[in-house]
Amino acid sequence: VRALEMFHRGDNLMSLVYGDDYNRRVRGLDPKKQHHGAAADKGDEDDDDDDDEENDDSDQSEDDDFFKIKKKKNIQEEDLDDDDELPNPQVGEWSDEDKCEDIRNRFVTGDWSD
Amino acid sequence: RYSGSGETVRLKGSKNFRYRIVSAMLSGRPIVISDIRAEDESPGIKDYEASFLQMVDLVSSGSSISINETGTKLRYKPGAIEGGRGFELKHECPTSRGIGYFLEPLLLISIFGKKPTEITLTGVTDSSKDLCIDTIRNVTAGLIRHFGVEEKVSIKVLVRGVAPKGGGKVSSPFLFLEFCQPVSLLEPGKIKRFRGTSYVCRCSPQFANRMVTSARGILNRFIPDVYIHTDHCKGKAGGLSSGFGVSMTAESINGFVLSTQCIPTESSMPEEVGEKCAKQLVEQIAQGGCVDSNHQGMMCVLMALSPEDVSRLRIGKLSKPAIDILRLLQTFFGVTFMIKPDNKTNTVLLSCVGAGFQNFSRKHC
Repeated sequence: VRALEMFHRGDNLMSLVYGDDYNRRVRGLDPKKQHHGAAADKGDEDDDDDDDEENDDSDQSEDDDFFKIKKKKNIQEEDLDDDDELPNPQVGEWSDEDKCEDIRNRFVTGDWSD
Repeated sequence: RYSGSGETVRLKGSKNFRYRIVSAMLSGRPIVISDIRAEDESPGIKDYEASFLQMVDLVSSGSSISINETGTKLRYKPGAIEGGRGFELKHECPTSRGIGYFLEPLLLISIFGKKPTEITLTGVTDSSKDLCIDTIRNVTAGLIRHFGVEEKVSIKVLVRGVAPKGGGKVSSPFLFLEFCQPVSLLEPGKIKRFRGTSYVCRCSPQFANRMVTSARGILNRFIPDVYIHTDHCKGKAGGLSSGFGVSMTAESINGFVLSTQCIPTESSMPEEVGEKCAKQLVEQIAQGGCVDSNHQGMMCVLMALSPEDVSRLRIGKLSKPAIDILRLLQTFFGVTFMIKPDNKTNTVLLSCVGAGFQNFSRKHC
């Protein structure tokens, strides 16, 4: 949810991508994750920088503490998540005629006034 | 100007494997990746990643790859990108991933090669995990034209092959360029038409028509110019397994092409597949970017490699792979993108000053 807010507020995409603590928030940007991984996100919150890739030197002790979580995460986030799935957009509600109207102007048949 | 030498980059995990290797090759910097699936039940690099390294080795010379016993640590020292078509380059892709997995980065590598490359790949042409061959042929290969490749890259699908057994065959010539030219892609423009390919391999040709009909049901609501080609591959031309799928594109008046693809999960009907693909395409259009979310990462790489001038690109939502690639580009090339959200149109503007990359595989230029 935090990530979603971040995105909508939208002033901070730079730090989202390059900032130190981007990793957890970034996951929120993936619409698929938002929906499917709500439960998984909770787990992530606990060990924020553990799997942060640029932050290579995570403490050994922390590793022990979070061994189980890390294991799960490694499989889910770091290893499989990368390019295993194409970032196709989530298909939203489609019975909604309003939505179709919204993008009608993106077509040549739409309104050219702007 | 980017010099093309540098210290070793150390990374962890198997994330974004292809683009890490591609960045290493293009930047000429050695790379060490450790902890590749170290905690996984089957640790180490996967067959398709190993195969990718083999392919990369095939088109370059003087590179060295070393992997430890468990496969969790990789050391890669890139060589010069050779390319070539004098002898026949061939690569067999494992069926665990689609040919798109290999072709997409190869496209990036080969345009910076010494010679034009012509390669034949065999394996699964259309997979749900990777860009399918129609998408690559119609969209990905066209995108590099923004950066100064004049001619059309014509990828030929000799045999179509779907998972699990594959058996497809694709031949693709790639061109090379001396410089990437900076781009300014800001106005996606209005969509003028929909195109697509629906294919069936070794099963009823009726499936293709059913996919087309359901997709048209959605797309015709927006614009009447919809043409989805049906490709019925029977017998040998259909590879070793049976299956079907569809890929679609939306072309804008400014020459931008957005794409989606859909391949059925185990029990989906052709109607569902066609419909889902069409909906995804409309969703992409709604996002309002100049490239679709599958191609954001590749565009970022090319922008970062362009001369020391500002490149701009408008995209819809920043996709997760693209974010990873943006970070890689910062690590390897020191290129930091300006990422500005445009609240008025709900899009994101990416801009960067290129690294001034020269095709240093070709020293004489």
